Amino acid sequence: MHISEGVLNPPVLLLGGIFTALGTAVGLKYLTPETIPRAALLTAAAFVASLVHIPLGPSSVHLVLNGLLGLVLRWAAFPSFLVCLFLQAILFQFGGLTTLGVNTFNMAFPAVASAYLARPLLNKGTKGALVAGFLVGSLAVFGAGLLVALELSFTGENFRTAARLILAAHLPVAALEGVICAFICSYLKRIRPEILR
Amino acid sequence: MAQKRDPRIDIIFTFLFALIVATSFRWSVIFLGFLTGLGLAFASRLSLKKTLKQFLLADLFLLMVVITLPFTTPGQGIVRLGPLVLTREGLLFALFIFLKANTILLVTYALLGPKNIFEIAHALHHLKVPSKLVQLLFFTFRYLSLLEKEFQKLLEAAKLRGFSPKTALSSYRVWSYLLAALFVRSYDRASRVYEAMLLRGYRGYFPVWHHFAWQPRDTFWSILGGIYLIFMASLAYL
Repeated sequence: MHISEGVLNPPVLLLGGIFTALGTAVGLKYLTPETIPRAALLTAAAFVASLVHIPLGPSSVHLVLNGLLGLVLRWAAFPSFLVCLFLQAILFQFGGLTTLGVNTFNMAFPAVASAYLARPLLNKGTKGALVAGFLVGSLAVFGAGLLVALELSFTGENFRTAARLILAAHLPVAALEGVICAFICSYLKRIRPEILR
Repeated sequence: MAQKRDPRIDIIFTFLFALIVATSFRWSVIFLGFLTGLGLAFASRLSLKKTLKQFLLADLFLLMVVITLPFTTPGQGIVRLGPLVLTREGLLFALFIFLKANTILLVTYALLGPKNIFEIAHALHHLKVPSKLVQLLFFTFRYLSLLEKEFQKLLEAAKLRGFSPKTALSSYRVWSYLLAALFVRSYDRASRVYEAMLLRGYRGYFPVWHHFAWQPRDTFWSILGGIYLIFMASLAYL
């Protein structure tokens, strides 16, 4: 879930901006002329995936797939989400320009971190890919929700209820995303292992 | 065709405006900013009704924040709903946050919404945003609608074979395989795009053909925008 404009206090916005700038600088180092189109198309694919509404009980949710991007793009997930969120801010007015830093950090940091944790499992066959997929999928979404909740609580005492609600809303999505990423990773491991290399 | 302003002016103005409004806690700033947003939306001939409907309540995040604030902000109670007390201060604060968020959205939407992403990417390039980042933006946007169509095709094909989306593991497996297929296609397309670009002499950057020519009207808009921003900043912080 993206934080809207005008909610967080200035120190949180500033810190988010600084961390995202650092992450993006590292991510851009990873990108070469050959991998720029690849990162861009995978970013576009994740963007398309996030527009899909998947039924969950009586309602439906949309996927984030930040964990999967972290697994495939590593640190380039930072510039990738920066671009993704910039496009969303301009095309759909979701999130915004002043929250670009915070929102990118919320998405990309848990993605990169959980990918680091799960990566060793990818060498352990299709079962390993299944577990790795579940871990990155669920941890990255849960981490994103946790960061949003922490930033809100830090902004003010009276935002804590909203923070708890938002964290709770992330739980079912994290579970679903874990399942979906597990299947996606096992598929990629079998069909095109070089994407997960 | 009406002469266009240099898009760099709009980008810088929008960013600074958003920064001032987002960090301000005064009603006067929000009020004036909201009026500015309405004016700009009117000037860029956006359908105001459609615009407002599109984002006033579309944001689930903002909705959760605005709904809880009246009950969690300490102050003078107005209504008691069981254990919850709705306070006057909370209601005002929620309204403040709501207007603040929508003021920034309105201005962003009015100034950057009608622009084409390639125009924005070009302007970002001239604003010295790292070339790799601009290229990433350019390619991502370039293939967005194409991949969206590709995914719709995959989904359509699955539905014709009897796939019906529901809450079940078997259904999630199909969703995952469709998405994985989209990823594989994107990955393969990226290699083809890269090879095609290499053949056309790509060396890791885009030579820029068209340059912005600064016009007298751009000076006019920059000065006007600058004065407005200085006024808003003094209203916000003095």
